[in-house]
Amino acid sequence: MIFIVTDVVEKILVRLPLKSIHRFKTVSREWRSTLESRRFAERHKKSVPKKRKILAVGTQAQSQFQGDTEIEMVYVQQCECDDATLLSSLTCDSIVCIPEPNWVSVLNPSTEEFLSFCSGPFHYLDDRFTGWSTFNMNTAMGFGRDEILDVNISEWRKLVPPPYKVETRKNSACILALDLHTEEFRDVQLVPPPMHSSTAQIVNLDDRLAIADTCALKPGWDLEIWIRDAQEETWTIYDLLHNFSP
Amino acid sequence: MENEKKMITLKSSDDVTFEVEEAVVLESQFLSHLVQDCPAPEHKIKEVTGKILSKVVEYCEKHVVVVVDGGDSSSSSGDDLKKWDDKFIKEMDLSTVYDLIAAANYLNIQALLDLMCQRVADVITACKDHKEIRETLGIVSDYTAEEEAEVLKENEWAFD
Repeated sequence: MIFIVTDVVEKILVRLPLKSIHRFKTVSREWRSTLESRRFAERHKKSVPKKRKILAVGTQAQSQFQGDTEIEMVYVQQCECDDATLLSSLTCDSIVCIPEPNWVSVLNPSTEEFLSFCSGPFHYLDDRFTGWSTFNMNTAMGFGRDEILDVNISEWRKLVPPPYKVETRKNSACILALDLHTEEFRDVQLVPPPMHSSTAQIVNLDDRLAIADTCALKPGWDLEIWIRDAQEETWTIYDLLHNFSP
Repeated sequence: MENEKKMITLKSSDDVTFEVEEAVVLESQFLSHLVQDCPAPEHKIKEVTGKILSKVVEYCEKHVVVVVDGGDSSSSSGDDLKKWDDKFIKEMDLSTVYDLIAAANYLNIQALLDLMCQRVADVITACKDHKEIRETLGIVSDYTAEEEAEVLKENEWAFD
């Protein structure tokens, strides 16, 4: 193969569909390191116009929507727990985490790989009262509190403790951010206006931190979503779902 | 005088000359800067051979939007142009594609570069497995047998 500058090689490779990228990884060491680099992943994410994927937790038989030309459906069928659908499923770099009673399920919607891990040796020792079901804002992310699950080696690792202890029944709201790359905690100083209910959940909306909350006080079962602007450090309300009813 | 087209001569590394309209040259960012900065009637492009330059000129001539007074009949419509592009790349072997990629990158002709990159990407996508990719693109594997087995296992789902 004649010499083509790396930048151009990447221009070619970002056009490949995901499966071809993985096949290409097996071609040589050099190609593998290019394809596994973070820079390439970012470029690929930006360049390929992807079909929207909707993740449905549950069984295909129960679903009323079968997908169409614009939306592809991915079903998670291995969930044994019916309540799994009620739990917050959390995403990180497009990987979805679904916390379940005694394990954590991790799904990659692109490859449809679905793996379950035990929920770690450090879990819920001081949380007997509420049990596992408090996988909401209180216990923060389903990936654990100050432990990290390494999906490559299926092992939990304890982190340097956070700046303060996050307690389940603490009155004031606080958010601790954990940078998964540097493994450092950061306190998110500002929290959005008062929460209405204890079912408020942290969600990832377009790669921004958001809090979804239902408001029973307002007529019409309002769903309120607050989105945080990371640069401005401000919260704004997302009004698209006004008067949404299930 | 306005209608008179300015002609520019391009000379390849092996001294093949191409006389083209200025508008054709402007398809290339690199050449349009060159023409602006240096108003000579002839420009030598040392990095591109006659064979490849003829392809570049052919592409640019087709893609330049020719605005003729009072009519648009001579400008190619989008569909026709796409068909032309498809034919243009299908007739080419991979080594010509590589040379054209290098030339399009050097001359900074974004649309041609995109077209050629897509062509290579399509070739790769059509390959069934790593062996076929290696053969088609002439890549030598630097994996050891164990490493290869491991990486194949990791990416098993991509082969079916």
